[in-house]
Amino acid sequence: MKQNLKKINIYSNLLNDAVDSFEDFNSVSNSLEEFSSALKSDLDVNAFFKSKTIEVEQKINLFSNAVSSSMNEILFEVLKVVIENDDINLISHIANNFVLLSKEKLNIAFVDVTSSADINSSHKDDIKNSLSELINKQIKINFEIDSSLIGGLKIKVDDKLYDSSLQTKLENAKSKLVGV
Amino acid sequence: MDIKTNEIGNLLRSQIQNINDNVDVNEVGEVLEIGDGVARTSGLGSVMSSELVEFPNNVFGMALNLEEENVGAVLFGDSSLVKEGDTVKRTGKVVEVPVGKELLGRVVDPLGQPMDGKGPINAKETLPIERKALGVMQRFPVKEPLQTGLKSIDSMIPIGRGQRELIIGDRQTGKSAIAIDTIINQKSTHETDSPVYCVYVAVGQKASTVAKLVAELESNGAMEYTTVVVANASDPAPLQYIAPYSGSAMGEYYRDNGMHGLIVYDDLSKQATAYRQMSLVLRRPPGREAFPGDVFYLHSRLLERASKLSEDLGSGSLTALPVIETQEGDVSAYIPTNVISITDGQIYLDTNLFNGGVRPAVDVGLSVSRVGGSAQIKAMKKIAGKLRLDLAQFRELEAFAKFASDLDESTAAQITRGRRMVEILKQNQYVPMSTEKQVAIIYAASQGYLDDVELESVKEFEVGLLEHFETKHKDCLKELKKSGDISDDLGSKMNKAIEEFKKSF
Repeated sequence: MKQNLKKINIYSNLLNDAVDSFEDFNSVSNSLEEFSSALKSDLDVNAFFKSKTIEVEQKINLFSNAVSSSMNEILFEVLKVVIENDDINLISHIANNFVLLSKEKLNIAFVDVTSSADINSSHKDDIKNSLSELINKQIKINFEIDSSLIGGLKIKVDDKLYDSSLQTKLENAKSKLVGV
Repeated sequence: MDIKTNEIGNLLRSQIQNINDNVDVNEVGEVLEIGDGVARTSGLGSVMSSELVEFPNNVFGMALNLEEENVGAVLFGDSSLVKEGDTVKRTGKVVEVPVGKELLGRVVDPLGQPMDGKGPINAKETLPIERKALGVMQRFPVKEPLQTGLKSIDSMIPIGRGQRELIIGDRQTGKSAIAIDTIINQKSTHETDSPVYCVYVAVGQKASTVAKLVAELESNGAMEYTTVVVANASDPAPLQYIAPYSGSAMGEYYRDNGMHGLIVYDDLSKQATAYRQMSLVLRRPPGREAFPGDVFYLHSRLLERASKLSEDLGSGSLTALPVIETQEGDVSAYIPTNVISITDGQIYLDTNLFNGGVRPAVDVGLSVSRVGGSAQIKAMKKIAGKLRLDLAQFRELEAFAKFASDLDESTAAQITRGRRMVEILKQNQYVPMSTEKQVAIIYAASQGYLDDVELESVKEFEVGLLEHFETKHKDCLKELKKSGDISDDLGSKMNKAIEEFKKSF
């Protein structure tokens, strides 16, 4: 366990050192997330990379053919070493740790915006720009739709939730009036 | 509520106007894992230890394990209503309960919510359930008695206000009965200027047992000054774990406001078991008997909160009567030894005595009160010394008497005295006795007035004698109550009264 922690730190620190722009961060974190979810969802791929009988060269060849064109170069090299060392089961931890480190280094905030209906792209841009200005950070934004909100928005910035949805307002009013 | 029709509209309008429609801002996290009443959550970076956190569906929890990457929280509600990926909110408050006299006569859960269907509790104050015990300078030595109304305890194992006295014994030995009798006996203090308010904390008991107990307290008029805090056997372990702390906060209100409180924890073995379950699920390392390493601190920090306050702080007190159940009389198990070492003495109840008809089944040899002696009234102190000695000699000789058929005169006399002493210490449940009556009957026995009374008639003698005092020599009882001492003059008056009764018996 302790050894794994050390390895996770080495991989993620290296990735963090290599990434120095928001764009780089985006491409690395997206690719890492995609690779990690592919490993989780496709059992055959998972079994292939974890197999002890398949040669490392074979694994790397397949990996290179599959992703080399679309993947960030630094990440590509790091993942090759991960496969070589048979540390594929640490991918999700490496991804999490990398995100934590780079978020701080590059002053990035993760924002989730939930609305009751679809928002058009100009509104989305408005929200993104004003939020970025307000919290003075670069933001990685994700839009979601949840009709149960009825109206208004729920904006989650890292650990903080700003809730102006009608659903919450009605619930608050209910608890105040009924005294529950 | 009496509202006129034309007022309804205005009332509603004003209430709706008062509703704050600002944006709700909360610090949130996400549930990573849920099971066995424990949730692991990510986020909640600045959550405090013991902070109340809110899960969806009105389920609350308490943050306990603050780790580097996640927070372990125990749930106070149904964990099946929370699922992986749910949002968890900080409340910014540590767990608090309502306190005050509004809670008297009520049955509440460990979060202070009413369970008796008597409507909401409109308490003005709340207190956090975890509070630091008082320091040395804020305390005062125990000096006032807390009467249990039980002859064997008030005479030989006296309890003072602010003391912690453990009630320990196997199952079915009458542990709870002693605690309940003590609560019922506090009724008499409500006619004086220093009433004792009671809190009974039921942990891990059957709901039916608690219902029976509440009914018993009600029928004896004791619920008027009592709050019952209930975490039933079917409640989640975290609720059973916090119940004693909640009760303690409620009791501390009386102590801190210059009043007197009595709290019964029934029982702490079940609380320790609940804590063990919680700790194991939270993956804290197990130690002896699989209890976590801080199980001593669990009880010591709770029992240290019972105390007698100094005059500067209002001279209030909180007396604690924790109950511990032993297995097969094993007092050297982990939890019993811990609690014995924390408390200021213990009342040990013995199965053999109980089955032999000695009830309350107090084993006088193993029971002790380390500080209560200084709180005992003089009259009781005078007769208790003799009583203790007589009983000790009796126990020693009784073993011999089983083998020897013919005994010398003095041994036989001591055995006779001992048997009568044991007989007068027997007492029925729910009939606590006032101190002056206790003194009167024990005085009669220790002066040898019962030596020639048939063993079977001792009970009858006791009832008759007390009635005789009540009807014909009330002045003796009054003087005893007033002075709290047996002066030579009072002694001779009492002797005369007893002799007078004996002639007619």
